[in-house]
Amino acid sequence: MKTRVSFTVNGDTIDTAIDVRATLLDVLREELRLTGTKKGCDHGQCGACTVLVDGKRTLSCLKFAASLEGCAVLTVEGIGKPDALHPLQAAFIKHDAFQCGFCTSGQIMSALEVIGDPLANTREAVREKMSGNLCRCGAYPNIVSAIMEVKSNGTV
Amino acid sequence: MVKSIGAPHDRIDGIPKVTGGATYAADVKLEGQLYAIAVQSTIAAGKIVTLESASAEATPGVVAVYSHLNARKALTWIHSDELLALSAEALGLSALPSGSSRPVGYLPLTSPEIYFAGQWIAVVVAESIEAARHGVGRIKVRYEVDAASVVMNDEKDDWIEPTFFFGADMQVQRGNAPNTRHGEVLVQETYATPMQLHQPMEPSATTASWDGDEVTLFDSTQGVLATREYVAQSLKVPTEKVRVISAYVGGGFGSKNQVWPHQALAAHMARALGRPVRLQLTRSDMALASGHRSYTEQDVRLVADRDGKIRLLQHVSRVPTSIQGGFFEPCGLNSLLLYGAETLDVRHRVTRKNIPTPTPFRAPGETPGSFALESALDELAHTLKVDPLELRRRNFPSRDSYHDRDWSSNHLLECYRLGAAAFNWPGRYVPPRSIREGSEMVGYGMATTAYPAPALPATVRLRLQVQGLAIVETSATDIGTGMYTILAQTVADELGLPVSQLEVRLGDSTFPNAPTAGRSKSTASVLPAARQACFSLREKLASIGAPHSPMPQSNESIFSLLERQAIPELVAEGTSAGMPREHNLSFYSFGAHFVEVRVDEELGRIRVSRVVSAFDCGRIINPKTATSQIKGGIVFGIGMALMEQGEFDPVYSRLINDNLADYHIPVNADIGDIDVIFIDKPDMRFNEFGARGLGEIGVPGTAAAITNALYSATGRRIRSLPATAAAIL
Repeated sequence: MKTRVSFTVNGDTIDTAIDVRATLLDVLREELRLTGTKKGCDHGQCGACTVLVDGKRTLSCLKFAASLEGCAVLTVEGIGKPDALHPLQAAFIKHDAFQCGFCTSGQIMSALEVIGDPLANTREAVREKMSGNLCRCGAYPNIVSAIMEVKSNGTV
Repeated sequence: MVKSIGAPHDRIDGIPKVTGGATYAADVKLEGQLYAIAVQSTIAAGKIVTLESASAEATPGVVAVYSHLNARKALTWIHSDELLALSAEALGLSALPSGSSRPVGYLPLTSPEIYFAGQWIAVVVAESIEAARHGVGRIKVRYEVDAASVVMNDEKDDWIEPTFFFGADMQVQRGNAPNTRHGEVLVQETYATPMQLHQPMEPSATTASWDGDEVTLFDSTQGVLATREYVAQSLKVPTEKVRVISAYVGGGFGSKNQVWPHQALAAHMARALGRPVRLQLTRSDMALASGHRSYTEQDVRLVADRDGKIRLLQHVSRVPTSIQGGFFEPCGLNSLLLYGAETLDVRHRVTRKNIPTPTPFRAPGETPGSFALESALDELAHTLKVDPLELRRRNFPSRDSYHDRDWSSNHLLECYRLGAAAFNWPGRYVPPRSIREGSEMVGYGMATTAYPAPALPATVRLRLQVQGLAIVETSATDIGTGMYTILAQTVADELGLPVSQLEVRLGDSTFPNAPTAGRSKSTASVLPAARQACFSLREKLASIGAPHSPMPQSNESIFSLLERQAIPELVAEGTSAGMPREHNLSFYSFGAHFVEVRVDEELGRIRVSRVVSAFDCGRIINPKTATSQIKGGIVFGIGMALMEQGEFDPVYSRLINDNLADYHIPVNADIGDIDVIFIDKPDMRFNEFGARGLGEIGVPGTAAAITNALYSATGRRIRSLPATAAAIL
């Protein structure tokens, strides 16, 4: 069964009929071909699929796309470009905050909320706030360093 | 021009990885592509009596269902000895006496027999992920259930004595048992390590697409050439008709080191259906269909003089493998080499269980083995009331006495010295329960790590293009290791070009031969090949009129030379030799971990507050990526020490925690400060870079250093991992 839904992704309006069973993650990846958002577990356990929905970090694998009427979705493709990186993207490269890169989009989207979080002002607090995003390569200390630099400077 | 090698260089694949532009296997979507999801057995032993797929097949969007009932005919999906030899099931079989496996190396969907819970029994192919998932839920299976066994029992199990594995005899008994003289000290304990799941963040996936009689696989593998060979054998097509592309791999840690059936199955289904097929493993499949590290039990016995010199080292491991496969953990490897005991008794016993086939997992053997060995050393130190670091110094192996060879280079004592200094190691015997800070007990622990330095022949191709680009191509993969970057650094230095004028292309089976990314061998295999390719290119340049040597420092001259001579592209290849042949030496890397833990005994809370680890891995090509890789290995060790444990249901023998909510891996809040120190002394007898790989060496020893620190903090000796709150309370 399909249903019509209208929302924006990275500012572009999406107005389409979608399978009611489809998650936001699968619609982003398979229909809109925005594959920067990754499927790590499909069960809301790893954070690789994190996007912002109306400015809040959201696990796109746990969100039915049909529930997004009127929402604004932001993915990693919408925050910076290779020749104009977002400060977080630049900081992740500078601090080597990833190895395989598979969790990275989710880490960056999650960090995007954390850099604006007034309660996350110490390394300890950032570690806590970033603990919903797993990284099996173990880049955690470098992820925290990248976030702390952007928090303190607003840039890299 | 500043040398790039040895300098901390940002990853050259950084921009695609932070912008979402890096394409992993499941990011590929081709015209008309179908989606496949597997169905798992719910029983651990027995037989499928009926498998009803009609309802699934009638589900809108479902295109096909394959099982043992139709796969042979519909997919030409057939098991053979030739296929088995190339598969993950076969690794280790040659170390086990023939006939000890029945049946040898099964292939899913070829028979109704069930050997472990979670075994694939069917695959549903559909127009969408949603339809495939719906179809999976409508498969109905009736089983005949047999008794299953997933837990070892020393007395009741049939035990196999493996022969030769990982370059070592699995049954070593050397030297005479020392007479039990007055004053000798004994440690005799049993240590246990848990079943561990690799769980790389990227679930394995294969997207297969045919064009005439040729098939291309977008795959998630550590080795594109091994995958190509397996898939070609399975399809019964010539190897050159199969192309495997893995430009980006979302972690592997061993789970993508061997070849598993799904990689061929996607190609078989795509051939039968005439459309591209993507078969992606679920997170549960990652626990069951691409290997794991098995649990182990290890008896260690040390006999030492009063001054701490170890006279006898006995290390007997009991480990499981699957009913049908061959891989087992060779836990005793480091015990053969590390402490120079004159009498060695290092043996392994293997038993078959209804578990999925285990597979290499970041330092297989060394990782669980080091937990037992390094814990026993700590117990000996406390028995003697000697500083555990001093005990290891007294037993430093000045040569590899097991193989009767000198080390190519061994700076373990320097690792001890620099690591201890940076950590501020006490440097004297500290009795347990000596340090309390507020509500926490504080403890210090250390352990040695060691890992071999292998190398295999590899070939790298350079393509110098007139428009000002040098392309570097090899089939090696970068699974997060930094291979893209260190190859660029190597070629940049040799050709005198900035990294920005290089494009490195990896993970394509049409590129020149390189080994699978595993066992810490890629750096030493691939970089010498890249250097040879640069030499070859320089010779070609010289023959067309460029100065011989040194290379012109102005990069324009290389490219303008091509332009002057109207050569659009100059191609050169270089091949490395693998292991050095001229030396009868042992090539090993070494290291030492120093750990501080803080334990709140009332809450049962354990924090690894500080880790300092020092490594002798030869020359470090890129300190930035190398430090990250080692830190990642230490994070694996922290997970092993404190939380990771695959658990089977005692009644149904199913893996209970086949997901990332119940199988705990470290999260950001679990990881404190980790300092990595490199001795950075080149091992010039290994290769001309003096570099050894370092993908694994961070892991072994870490867990023992943590539990040794826990003993120091609390006086409780943890001999069975993981050390959870329950072990402390």
